[in-house]
Amino acid sequence: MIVFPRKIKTVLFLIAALLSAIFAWPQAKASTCGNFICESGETAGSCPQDCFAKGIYAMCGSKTNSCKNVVKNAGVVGVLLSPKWNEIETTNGVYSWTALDEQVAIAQNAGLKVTFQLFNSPYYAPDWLKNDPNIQKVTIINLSDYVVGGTLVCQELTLPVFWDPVFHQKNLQLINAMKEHYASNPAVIGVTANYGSLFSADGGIPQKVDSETCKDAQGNPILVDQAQSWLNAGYTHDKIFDTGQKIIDATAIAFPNQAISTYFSFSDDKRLEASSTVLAKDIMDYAYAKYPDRFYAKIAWLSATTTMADEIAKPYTKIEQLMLLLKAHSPQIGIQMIDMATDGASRDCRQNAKIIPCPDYEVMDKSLKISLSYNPTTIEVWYQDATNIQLEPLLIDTTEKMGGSLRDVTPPSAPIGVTIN
Amino acid sequence: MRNFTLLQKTLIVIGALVIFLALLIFTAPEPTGTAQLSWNANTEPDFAGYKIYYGDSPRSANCPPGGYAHNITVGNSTSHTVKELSAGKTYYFSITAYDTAGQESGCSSEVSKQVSVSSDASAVTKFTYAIKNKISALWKK
Repeated sequence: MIVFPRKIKTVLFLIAALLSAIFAWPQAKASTCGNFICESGETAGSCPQDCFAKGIYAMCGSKTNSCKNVVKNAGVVGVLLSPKWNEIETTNGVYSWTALDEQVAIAQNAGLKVTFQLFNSPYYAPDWLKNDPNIQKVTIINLSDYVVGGTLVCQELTLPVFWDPVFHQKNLQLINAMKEHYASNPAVIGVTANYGSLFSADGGIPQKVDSETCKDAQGNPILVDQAQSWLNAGYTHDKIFDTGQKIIDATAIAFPNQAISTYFSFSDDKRLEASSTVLAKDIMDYAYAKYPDRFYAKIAWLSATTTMADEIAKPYTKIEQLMLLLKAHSPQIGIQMIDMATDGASRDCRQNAKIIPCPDYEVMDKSLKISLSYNPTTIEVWYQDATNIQLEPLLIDTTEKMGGSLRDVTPPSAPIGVTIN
Repeated sequence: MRNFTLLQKTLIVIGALVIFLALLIFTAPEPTGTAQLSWNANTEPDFAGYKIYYGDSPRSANCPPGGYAHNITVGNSTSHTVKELSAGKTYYFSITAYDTAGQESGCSSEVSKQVSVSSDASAVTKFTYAIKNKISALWKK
């Protein structure tokens, strides 16, 4: 054995320490949540106080004019803007934010907080991506009345699956592009991470078995088994859970100073998930543990007939099971109305669970009281309700009860001292 | 070649002059004038600018828009000159303020002005406008 003198030992030790520091450096850099990958136990970013501005938020969709009149409602503290992927990235890799910029400017100028619900679901993917032959797809018969006005009911749709690597990568690139454009805007306080909704960005995956809605050319009923379509496409709990984790991480890393949220739904079919809420619970457990200061779960289908928080009792319905999960994280939760109360009759009284009649004021009053019983941070209402003068006192009252700050919406005074020559 | 008498020659010259004047008067560009408005500044912290509503008839509805035919956004200046107004007509003006959220105030009190030809209009424009007004006055008698 070679015996080194003490001085040589010290020099060798210093060289070894220097070399290990040099080689460890790139690894340390790679673990700072770069490229949407966070090392175990690492949490990206922090949430300033404003991330959870309490109160009513108006859902403004993706059209610029939708929210112009919302600014007049003192009870509205923020807006939920829903940019659609197929409108933003019509060409692969080229992103257009013009329409969204206009919406953000209107809200920002009015002192409204801005939250995004990015419609990055397979249905809203751009055509160039949907038509990519290398992407794995699911073929499913649509049963929803509420997909683009119901025009697609009973139509067979072939759409990418969430977990396809190419689709997923493009989704991450979209989130990154959005980050480049909006992450530093102080008005933007929240972003929704969507990973498991086929159509909008909040409804989960369609998974019904139905033999009444659709008929063949001879008028004979067709059995529609949406759950089986997913199984045929290779759906597993682990795949969707893994995709959900990655999208939530990517969104959290892209928007380090914003609140991150996800809309949750329940499962209808035991062939897909062992229980109706197991996927929601797993994702919530993951996200709340990893982003305790800035994650909040949301549901997007509260109606005037949803059970009040203190009235949920066994045996629980699927919705109640999910509401219990949500309630456990109160107040770091959000609630969205399933539909508008305004002119409810024209919407099949959907906000009143299709119970007729559905007078605007009563339906909104009841819906807001139910929402408040869960003590949420945000309540999202349709912009039609946020611009309905009749409902304005209800929204103001609700924001105040939530501890939110009312905005000053007094218009300027009329000019005086006008002279003419 | 036909010989004209002195009287005939005089009538031809006068006729040509009348035709020339008529052409000058009726083909001359419509004379225009201006109205210079000023007002006190608004002091709201979220104030963003002013709008001027105007037309050749008085306010006829809730204001804004007040039933005015025109409106212009003039930024945050407290004076503005409205140009290209038809000379001879009376114009009516109201002003509103708006804030950064796009919320608009009610209208200021209404002011009006009978517009005269701009001082910088050409001599021909001023002359034809004067003749036109004279003819119009005679016609009304």
